[in-house]
Amino acid sequence: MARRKAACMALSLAVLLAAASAQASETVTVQVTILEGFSISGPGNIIIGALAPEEQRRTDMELNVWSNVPWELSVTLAEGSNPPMKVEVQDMEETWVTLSGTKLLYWNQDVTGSEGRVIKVPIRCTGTYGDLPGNYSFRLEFTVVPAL
Amino acid sequence: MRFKRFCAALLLLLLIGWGRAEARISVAPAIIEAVSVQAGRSFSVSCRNQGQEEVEIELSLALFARNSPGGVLLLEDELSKARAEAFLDLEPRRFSLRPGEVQTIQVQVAAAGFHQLQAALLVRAIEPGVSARLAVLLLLSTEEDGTCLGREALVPRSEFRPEPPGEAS
Repeated sequence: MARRKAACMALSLAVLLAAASAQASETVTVQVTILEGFSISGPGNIIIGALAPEEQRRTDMELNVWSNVPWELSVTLAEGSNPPMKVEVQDMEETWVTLSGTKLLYWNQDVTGSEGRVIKVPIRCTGTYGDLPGNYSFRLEFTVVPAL
Repeated sequence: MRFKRFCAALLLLLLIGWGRAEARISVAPAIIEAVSVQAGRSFSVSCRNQGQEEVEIELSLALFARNSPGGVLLLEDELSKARAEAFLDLEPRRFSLRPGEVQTIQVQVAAAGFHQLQAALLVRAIEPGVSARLAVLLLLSTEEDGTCLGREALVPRSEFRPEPPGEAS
């Protein structure tokens, strides 16, 4: 009788231990969905400085783009911005494009990775004798769009 | 003389610092696709300020079309904006974000009088000089068959004919 009891207890203990070890090795599946997202930062202000008639001044500005989807970058003059002088920006093929309407600067751009991508955008302004002396400011608007 | 030089150097540093003041905003998701869309359905987009300073954000709606393989052309003419506004509601329209703060934007379908809608939610950081925008693309269909939303099925610019607001396409 005592032997049977001992055998039963040993068997129960073995089952419990097996169950416990099975629990210890159990894995948990964690499901996460990574969304398509992007981010941009700009320099805020650019100072071109004094511009004489028929003089051309160039400055380079930098934008940072982060994206885990392919993307494009375009530029436009913000609403209400109407600079008297000619304003041009350089696209990814180093072509100078005059700012009027929306201009595509970077296209077919791949994901940037976590470090992001620094985009250098040269801007140049050309003064003419048709421009009245004075202080002018205008706003540029850069737009990042996911590519489809 | 030294004082003048010091002042000039300080002014230069201030100008450089001013010129480099950066605002950084991020948005997710960048693309929203949905089928069987009905009026009242809403979509959430989160907007985060990852810069060092408080930033003012302004939202607007537009349409888009495809202008090259993979390329997206934003349609921001008055007609396109009116059509997008007729079908979609935004809440909030304008808000400010402190550094690290996140705002959830709700885009709600106000009227489902369309078969397909290719709209863009434009998230703009308002800054004095150069401002940055992020365009979230919405590809919505009122039909059950989602194949019409396939990214290859976008309407090329040459074929795009925006319709007056309120009329189903």
